[in-house]
Amino acid sequence: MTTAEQVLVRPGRARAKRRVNRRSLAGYAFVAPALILLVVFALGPFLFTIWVSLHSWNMLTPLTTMPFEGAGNYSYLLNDDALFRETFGNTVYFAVGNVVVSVVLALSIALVLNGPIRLRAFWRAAFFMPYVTAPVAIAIVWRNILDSNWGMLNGLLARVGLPEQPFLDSLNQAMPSLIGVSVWHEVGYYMIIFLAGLQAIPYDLYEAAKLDGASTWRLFWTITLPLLRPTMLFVVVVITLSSLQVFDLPFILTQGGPVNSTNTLVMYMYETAFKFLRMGRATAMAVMLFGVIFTMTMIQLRLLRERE
Amino acid sequence: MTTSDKTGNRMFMTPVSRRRFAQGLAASPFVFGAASRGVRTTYAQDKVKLVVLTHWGSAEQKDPLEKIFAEYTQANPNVTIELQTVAFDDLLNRITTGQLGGEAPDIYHFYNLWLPDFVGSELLAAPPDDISTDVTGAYGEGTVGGASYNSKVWGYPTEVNDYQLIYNKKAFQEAGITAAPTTFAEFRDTAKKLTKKDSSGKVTQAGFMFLAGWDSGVVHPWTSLLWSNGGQYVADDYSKALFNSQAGIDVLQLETDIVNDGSSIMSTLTDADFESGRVGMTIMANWWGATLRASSLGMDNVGVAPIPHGEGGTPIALQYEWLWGVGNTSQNADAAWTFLKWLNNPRDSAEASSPMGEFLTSALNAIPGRQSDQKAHADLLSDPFVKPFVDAFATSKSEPIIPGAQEIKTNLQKQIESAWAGQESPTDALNTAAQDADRILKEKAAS
Amino acid sequence: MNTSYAIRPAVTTSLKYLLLIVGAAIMLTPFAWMILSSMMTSSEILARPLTWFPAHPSFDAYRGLRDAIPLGRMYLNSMFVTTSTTIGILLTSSLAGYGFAKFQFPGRDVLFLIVLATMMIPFFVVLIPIFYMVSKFGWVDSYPGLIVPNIATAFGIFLMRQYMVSLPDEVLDAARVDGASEFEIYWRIVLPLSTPVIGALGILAFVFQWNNFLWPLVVARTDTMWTVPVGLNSLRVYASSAQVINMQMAGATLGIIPLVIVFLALQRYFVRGIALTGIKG
Repeated sequence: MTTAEQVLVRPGRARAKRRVNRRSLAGYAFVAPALILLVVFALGPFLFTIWVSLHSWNMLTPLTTMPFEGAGNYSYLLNDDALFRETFGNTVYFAVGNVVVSVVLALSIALVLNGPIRLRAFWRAAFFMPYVTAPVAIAIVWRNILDSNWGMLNGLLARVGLPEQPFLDSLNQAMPSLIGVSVWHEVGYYMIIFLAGLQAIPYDLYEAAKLDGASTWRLFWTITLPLLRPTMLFVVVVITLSSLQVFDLPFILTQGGPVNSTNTLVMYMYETAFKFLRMGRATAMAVMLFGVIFTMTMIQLRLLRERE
Repeated sequence: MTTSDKTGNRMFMTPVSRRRFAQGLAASPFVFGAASRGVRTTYAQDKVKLVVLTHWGSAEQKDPLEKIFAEYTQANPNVTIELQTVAFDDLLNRITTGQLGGEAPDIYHFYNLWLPDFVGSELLAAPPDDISTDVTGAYGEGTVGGASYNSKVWGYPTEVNDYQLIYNKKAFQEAGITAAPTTFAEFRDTAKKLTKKDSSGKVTQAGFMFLAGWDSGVVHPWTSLLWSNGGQYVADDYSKALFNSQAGIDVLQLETDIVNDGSSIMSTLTDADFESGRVGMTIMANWWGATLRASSLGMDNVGVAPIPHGEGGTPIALQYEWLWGVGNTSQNADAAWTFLKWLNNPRDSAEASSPMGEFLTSALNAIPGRQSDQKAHADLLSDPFVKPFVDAFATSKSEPIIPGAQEIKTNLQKQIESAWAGQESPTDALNTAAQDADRILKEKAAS
Repeated sequence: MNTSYAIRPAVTTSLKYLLLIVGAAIMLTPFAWMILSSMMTSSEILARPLTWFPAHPSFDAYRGLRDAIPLGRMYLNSMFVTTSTTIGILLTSSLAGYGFAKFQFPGRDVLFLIVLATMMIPFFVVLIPIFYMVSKFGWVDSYPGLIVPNIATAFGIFLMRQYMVSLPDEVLDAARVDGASEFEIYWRIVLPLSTPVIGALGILAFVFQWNNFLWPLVVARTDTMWTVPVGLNSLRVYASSAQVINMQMAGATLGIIPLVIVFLALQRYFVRGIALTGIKG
């Protein structure tokens, strides 16, 4: 097992010692600042959130007057809320699409850039630029490009004789279009992570294999991919995490439309909290989403460990 | 002569910088106080500070408003006023976080649809009697209704907005249309006639523009058409939804037909399709006038007509308004009401405009709710764009101020869009929305 | 630094360049249009089909932007807040990452899982309690309010930990034998050895914090505390917001300049940095 896998999968289980000594006190001291801040600004608020999810709260009345709902919010969401199910499905659809396409593209570009390519710094910068762009600019630019009547992409399609597409106006194409924009935005970021991962693989491994007459494809499968697995794990975990919480892009690009086809869980959560003033229900959604993400992450960690 | 604005950039006294100078002057006593302010301090006996929260944040809106505030603070030196602004989309967010964090403003400016939530949560202070009497006497019936909840008035209405059919005159001329459509049949027909396609069959001009993805953009025009078809939105006792009646189904069918005819596009305001001359007609509110005025379309090309009506119906536009209210947690409620009374009452004589009236008409091109203001600014309000909207107030109805209104509206929006997209029939779409609405109404009534 | 396997014939090489060119074109075209549009009039931006080049390129949009919002102040705030937050993140993440990577103590694994778990909550869900605390501390509409809640991040701790796990224990033990204190080891040995990941996290944190919108929106109550994204967002309050679209593009263009500079400056470290985050075979 690589150190990474030890760390990621079973955090130190193999090595943890239960002794409290001077060294371990130092350990506590090092993690203390960050941990205290996280407890105050992340964990504590999350526990508060869980507590709120057991109540009804419109955020305008004091907390002390919140009616207690018990599991009421949860049962409503699971049994009676069609939109919750729909947004959950949309979110999973988005996450799967985003993860698969981003990982494949990011890895492919990284593989290309890993070879003898000139101007590598330029290509790296070019692929990273979309990531630094603010969402508001992305929205304006991409709405312009994808406009179903007068957009640039349709203009291009028409020029080469292909039929024009409704993109963001279509119930079926809106989500794929959204995934496309998301990939555009993030592929450079993940590409760089893969690039670094590839660069860490010792060249002599390839040399030796080539001397034995291995083809490029075989090199990829037997050397690159296995040694890249920890990076792959890191990237897949992080992309999944952020994809399941996607909000900014659909919010500015499609407002969840057409109808609810690009309405995601976090968007619905936000609307429930700040538009309908139902904080109890929104926090219940957050808790359930947390459960899903946590489970997914654990599964990913386990899956990628077992193969070794 | 040079001066520095509050960011320290040196500027010359160009017309633009004169405005910034005035803004800086009005704001400077508050800037540094605000920047270093942490916990709210209590002031000495006579000194009062009022914090006002609005969504009028652009310079063209903020500057005149701050000037008016400055007028008051000069006449009342013990009062200082701080104006905070956020974009409309963030206003509710700001109000809730402010309330929780103890950073609540003294004076709110809010959308009247939020009354049930605000009143139910005791966010607002009930006005003193003289204010209530003032409002009931000086504003139109629909407007007073829009400012009321639980049989109480909750503040001063400011700008009132209603909806009309807005069209591109040049497009009309080119299509040989001489009059705006008045009935549903004419409406559908006109949309067809206005649609232009190029040689490859692509739409270059759409007959009608639907504003999708935005609750008011979808529901307000639809509701206006509903009422103009003799339908009702909700029962008088607010116990159930009535918009899924045949009248409502017919309206949604009409809209869906226009979509299926290929005479429409789905758009958003930021795409500016109407102003860029790509659309023949749409149904929108009067506050959009400022945008149209600033666009390349030119006001001469913009026509306004009543909402088309169904058989046996008459045009009824939906109206909504904004309100000034005082926060229940404000330490300076009396001073706040006194200020608001000055702000919303005629200056010198009974025929004069109120300071608010001046602001609404000149800075916003909006229609003031106060009837004396409407008279005092009759000339501005007789502008060819504005006048039809003002006239429509004679027959307009207020958006229903009911608990859960926002949620019901959003559900209805999605169902209407679903019918437009052909996902559901108009009947099913409206029945689903009505079921949701009934559930919400029942739940809110019980709590 | 470069490891490449099989050198393929020229066909594959030109194919690779083709892929890169097409890819870069897709990446950069929207970007290029954004910059060009900041020099157009709003009608040109709103015209369909797409206007590529402004008829009369001008900086009117930038001038209008400067007059509409306190641009200078916003930039100052963003620079100060983002830099401070990034430094804070680097400090807390490197400290904690080192602690989790190189020390054993009871409950370490559970604590690390808790750290990871904090990445799984959408921010606005905890917005209200955080805001409540911040206002109780008296930090509303102030720099501490903008900075402090953001200086600890699980992502940073995760990244740092991955990297530091592969630092050679022998070096650290040797220093201990020489009598160095734990903090000295951290400061004098671990940090210098970690420059790559510091560069990496530095740029990621900087970009994220610069574009952070929701928190500053809620904490900055007056426009003297606006950061760049919040200030640009305020352009939406214009009734004629479509007509100021060129100003929004100008604002967006200005907004990325510091990020591009930081990226270009740090990218060498960045690539090297991630390379060593626990992916050694």
